Amino acid sequence: MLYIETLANLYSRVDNPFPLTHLSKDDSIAALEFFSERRPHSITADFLLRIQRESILQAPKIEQVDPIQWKLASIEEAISRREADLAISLLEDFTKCHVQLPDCLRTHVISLYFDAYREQGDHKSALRTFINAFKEADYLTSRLRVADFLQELSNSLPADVASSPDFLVARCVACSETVQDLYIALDDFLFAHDLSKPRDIFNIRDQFDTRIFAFVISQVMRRDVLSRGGYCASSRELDEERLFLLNSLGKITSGKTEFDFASEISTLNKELLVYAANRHVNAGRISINAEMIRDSAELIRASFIRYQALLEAESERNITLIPLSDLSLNENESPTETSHELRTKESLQVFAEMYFTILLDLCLFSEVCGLDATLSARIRHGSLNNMIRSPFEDGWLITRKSSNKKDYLPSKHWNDYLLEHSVIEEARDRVSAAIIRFTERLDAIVVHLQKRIIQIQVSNIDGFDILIPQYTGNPDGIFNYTELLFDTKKNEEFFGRAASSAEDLIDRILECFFTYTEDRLEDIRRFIANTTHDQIRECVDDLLEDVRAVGLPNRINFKFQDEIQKSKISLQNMIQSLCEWFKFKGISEFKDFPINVVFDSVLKAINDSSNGLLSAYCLEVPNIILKGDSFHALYDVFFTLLYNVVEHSDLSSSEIDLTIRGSMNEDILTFTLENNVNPEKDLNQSLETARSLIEKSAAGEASRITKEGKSGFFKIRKILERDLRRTQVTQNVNTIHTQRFSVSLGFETHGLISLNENTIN
Amino acid sequence: MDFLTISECSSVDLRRSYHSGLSAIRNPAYDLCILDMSLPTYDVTPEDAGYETLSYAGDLLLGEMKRRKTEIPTIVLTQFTTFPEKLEEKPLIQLAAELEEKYKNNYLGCVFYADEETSWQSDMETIIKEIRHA
Repeated sequence: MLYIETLANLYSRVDNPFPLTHLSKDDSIAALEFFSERRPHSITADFLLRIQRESILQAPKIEQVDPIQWKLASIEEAISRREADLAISLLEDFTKCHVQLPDCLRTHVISLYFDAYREQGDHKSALRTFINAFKEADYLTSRLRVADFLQELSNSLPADVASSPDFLVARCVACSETVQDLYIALDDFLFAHDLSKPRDIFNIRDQFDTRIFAFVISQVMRRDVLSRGGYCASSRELDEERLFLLNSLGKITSGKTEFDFASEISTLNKELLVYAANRHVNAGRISINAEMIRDSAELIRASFIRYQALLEAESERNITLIPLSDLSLNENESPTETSHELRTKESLQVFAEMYFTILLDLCLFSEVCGLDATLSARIRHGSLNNMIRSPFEDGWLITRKSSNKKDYLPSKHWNDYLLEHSVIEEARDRVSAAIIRFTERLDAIVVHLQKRIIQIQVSNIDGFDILIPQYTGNPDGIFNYTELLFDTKKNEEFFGRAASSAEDLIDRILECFFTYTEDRLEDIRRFIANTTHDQIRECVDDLLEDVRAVGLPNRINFKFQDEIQKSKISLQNMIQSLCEWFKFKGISEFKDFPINVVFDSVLKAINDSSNGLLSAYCLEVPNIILKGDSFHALYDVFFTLLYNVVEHSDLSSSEIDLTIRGSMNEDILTFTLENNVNPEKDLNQSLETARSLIEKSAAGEASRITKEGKSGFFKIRKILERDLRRTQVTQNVNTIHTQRFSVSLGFETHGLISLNENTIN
Repeated sequence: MDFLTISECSSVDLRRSYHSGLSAIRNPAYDLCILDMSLPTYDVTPEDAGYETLSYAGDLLLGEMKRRKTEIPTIVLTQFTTFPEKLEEKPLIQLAAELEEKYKNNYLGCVFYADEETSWQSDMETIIKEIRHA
């Protein structure tokens, strides 16, 4: 068989000078059979043509030549002598006599018609020949030299031909490899028909044969082609346009199995869902649970009544207020003031306690509804690190820590690249060291942001350390609420005296808090856009200098330089996106959504910021639709879970094999995430630690919610129990076989399932 | 942008992607185009990653100018030294020669931009002065 295959391949080559008569008749037949079974028709036809030519040349008598071969050779001969009319006449006779031909010969006949019409100058008929063949089956056009034909036409193209669907298809087939040429062919066609948007092509649908129309929509109006025109203003519009085209085409071709776009439609729908979901998550990550704060009015109700009584008493005696800063709040100090001053001090003190309760205990530091909890869950824990590293992942300019969490791993990518280019070990080590230094500095910037900058500052208040010893805040924290807490007299006049009830007092303070927080958010955005951006750029420039100092060949230096330049552009975009996080979450509604959208969005977010995609995952979740207002909370839950999978596996994303399974049992929805871990990891230790943390979170320990590090289980429980009001939250961890870790999470779905058919898709 | 303002360009219109560049070149009223070679397809925003980065966006836009007959005098400004090809990367010098050959009517030259250097400014000034004198 190998002999025949080799022989057939050899003799099908047009540049083979040896005549086919070298083959025995049996070998010729075997080669032909081989071809017709295994090879594309064009090669079979070439092989046949050689046999025909040579058998005609070699045959002692014409009668001994196969009649079909003889006729086709005669037609070819006529064309080569430029006797196109004769060729066409012979072709017409031929096709009348030989209606049923094998595909390889049909391809040959079609090409002869095409060439004959071209020779005759009948371009319309040549084009029609091409289109008729194309409509029937693509491969029938394989021998047609369409590109040459189009080149020929370009000098004398009648307008009606130029704007015809046939011409569009011919152009697209001729240039199918080049996206830009496809776009130009399409754009010329749309322009000729005065159509401004791709979808407008449906207005002239009747000019197309169905198969041709389907080809144009599905194979020409692809996203990459449409993106080259000014038809859509954004990626989302592009996806929507493509989805519209396919859905509309589907209505025309429904029932015809050869036109099956279900897979692409499904992918586009998924991408648009994920796009909408990530936009919802990232356009403002700051939210304060004002409703929960208002619900805490009970905490201060008794104090407010007492405060009002004190105020009334004071007004009867016409007492002047004394600023808090002038007074001692030490309970043990013997009062030396007169009785009316004591009452003044008391009303102010009562107000101060209420004020601090609302601002400090609730708005700022509540693990359940405060700003610090939001900053921790939605920014500091995981997301920030991912985001800041993301511009440097594509170019492999960053590495990660080894399983001991102390040392950094060398850059395998660049080491392999340099080795491939014969760079000596010392130079490779220096490059690796430069990348490790850069990674260390970048990680230090992240840690500084997490632990110092994106923190609340309240400690710098004279005399207030007595009142608020538990809230030291952070002296560098950009979220500086000192001013809002400082002037109690002013605050008491502004809020306390004007309030009609405890609820009213809370509302007034909340309004002021939100306004003040808007200013702090602007401060952090400015810090990130300027200071953080500059710091990271400096690190990047230093990395470039360090690599240049190694003295690598120019070509490799240029390669590295280009990766750095790309990362700087990505850095700019990342900073812009990061700033958007520091805005209050808008009130925009998120539609009800299928549960898998949460996972798709989270996985995209993790994959966008880690090289070696977390793509080896299996997702099997029930097909349930959840209410839109639960999306962000569930996103936070599963981001925390999946981030921890990547973080604690001690593997790179590409090495992780992850399975996510969901099941519904009565009202309880349970998810299990299972993944492999680094063989060197002590899985038993990890299991013990995780179980201990789960126990503490289940016991109600809340102090870790606003911390980063060993806080994932606490945050997840808080989100489910407080934000989503779940009462049956379960968390479990297990090991499976060797070196596979499993985390499961369960909660009741009552109140979360949507009954609305109008979902996000 | 600061450099262009100092160079006494009366007004400067900044476009950040292939798509927004395409809409700009439909207006032939510009005296000069300074064109980055690599651009995202769409403007990058926090919501839109720009679809894909076109390594030869500048070449495509020059092609569109030619096709639409709005050949605005163009300087290519790039910070990359090589550009991707199927088999081997194409150096900037080769790309510049190809652009010169393809777009004789309006291609004015190629300037390599580096953050830490200022030679690109003098290169740019030279070309702009030539345009003014012409």
